[in-house]
Amino acid sequence: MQIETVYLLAFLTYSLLILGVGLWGYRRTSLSSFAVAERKMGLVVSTGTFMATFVSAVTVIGVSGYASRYGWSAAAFSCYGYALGWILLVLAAGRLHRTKLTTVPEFFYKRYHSTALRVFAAGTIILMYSLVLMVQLMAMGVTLSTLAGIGTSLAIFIVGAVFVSYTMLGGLAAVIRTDLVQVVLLGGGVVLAACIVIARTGGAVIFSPPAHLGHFFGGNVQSAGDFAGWMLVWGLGIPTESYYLHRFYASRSASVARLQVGIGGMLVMVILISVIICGVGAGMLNPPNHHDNSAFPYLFKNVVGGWASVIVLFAIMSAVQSSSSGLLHIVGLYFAVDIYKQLGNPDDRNLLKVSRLSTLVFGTVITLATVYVATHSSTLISLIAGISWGGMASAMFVPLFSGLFWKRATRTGALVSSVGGLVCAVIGFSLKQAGIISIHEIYPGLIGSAVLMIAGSALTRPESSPFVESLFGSRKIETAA
Amino acid sequence: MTVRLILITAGCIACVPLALCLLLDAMDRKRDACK
Repeated sequence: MQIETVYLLAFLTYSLLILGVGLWGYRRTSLSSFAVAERKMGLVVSTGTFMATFVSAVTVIGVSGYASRYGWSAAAFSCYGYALGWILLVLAAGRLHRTKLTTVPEFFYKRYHSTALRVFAAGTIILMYSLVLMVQLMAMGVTLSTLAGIGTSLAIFIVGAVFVSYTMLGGLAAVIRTDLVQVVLLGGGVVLAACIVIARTGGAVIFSPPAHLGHFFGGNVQSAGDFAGWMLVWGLGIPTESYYLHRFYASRSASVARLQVGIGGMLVMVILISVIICGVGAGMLNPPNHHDNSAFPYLFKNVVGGWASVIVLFAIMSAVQSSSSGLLHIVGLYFAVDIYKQLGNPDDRNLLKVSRLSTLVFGTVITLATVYVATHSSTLISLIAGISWGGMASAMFVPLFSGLFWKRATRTGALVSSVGGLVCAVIGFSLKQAGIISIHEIYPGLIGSAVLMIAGSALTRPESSPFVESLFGSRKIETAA
Repeated sequence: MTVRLILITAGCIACVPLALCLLLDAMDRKRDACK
């Protein structure tokens, strides 16, 4: 049997298994199950879903491609900044869990009494995540097309149909269970791949890599200043991502909310180091024209070859689908709860229906748009996707962490901080594109956002409420209305 | 040598979030006990 046929059969079997889990989730008909998995996530499930969401196609394909070109400096670029992000997530986890809310923008509403901020935050998240989803789907389409020999558009369409279906049917209850299956395939596949690479290079990938692949500095990290800079980009960006924060609401206790990051972070580091080993191995074993994002799939299809390469397909596929379903769930749910709900006063049954419908509509539009972009290049989409990380951090970090830890933060401060932060990030991004500045747009974004928060809060009086008192005092936290 | 240092430091920093979790859990338990 040809290896392409094996890939295709493996992919179809995997898709059917995942769809089965989605259908199981459909039997659960409450909004609480769809939105926050009934707030019953235990430590194993929550750690699995955190890891599966964290390790995306960008991590597996992007970091390995980067390592194939710049070697171990990929660790300087990613590992330390990721760890800083996990530390800030741990700090936020307990407090967010205890609020017993349903979405991150809802926290802004309860904390700052601002429907405008809630809708703005939800709109920003939906737009940015839709574009990130397109990038993820594109990465998967290209990989599946390379490995299984089918057209990129068809590959994107098939992957899209699978993850949209199970996310729409089962919501978070299905997403976290499919994540558990996916993280086993993903973690197992990547660690096994790293072992194969270590064996193939006789251990040289770790103990004696070629000089150009064995340095701490390289690529985007040329100095200690660059190192600190990228550490802040990841460290301040990660704790603003709703797909992690949302899982704190769904956890069974504050301790589980924190430990999923603590334990999950350690295991993600193992996966990340394995990905870097595969990337550096690809830098040693692949021909020079495959020292890019195709490094990992090419290494296993053409250099290692055989049945071992099927594990790479599973690992990449799991990485894409688990992250994509987490993103799409947020897009569909936040549209229903934070935007649609503001137009009237729908009951939970109606909100569940709208959540499913918006997940289907957004998922379908995103999949079709990705198929279109795969065949026609779109500068606008790639530009907006490029700013999504810095834009999200700039709009969300200061209002979120001020809301959690600074009692004096006011509604006006939060509103100008969020909108102003995003505007500063867009200006910074434009200046960087024009070659006027060379720093990441997250810096003007976050500095602008922090200045506006302090100024806005200093000029206005904070409003007290039972929710705010409970967040900062000993009073039991008020639950969502 | 560089790679080994990277592996050791990355391993150490990956443990910090877990240590922080355990510390915050202990603080929560102490606060609950005082109530």
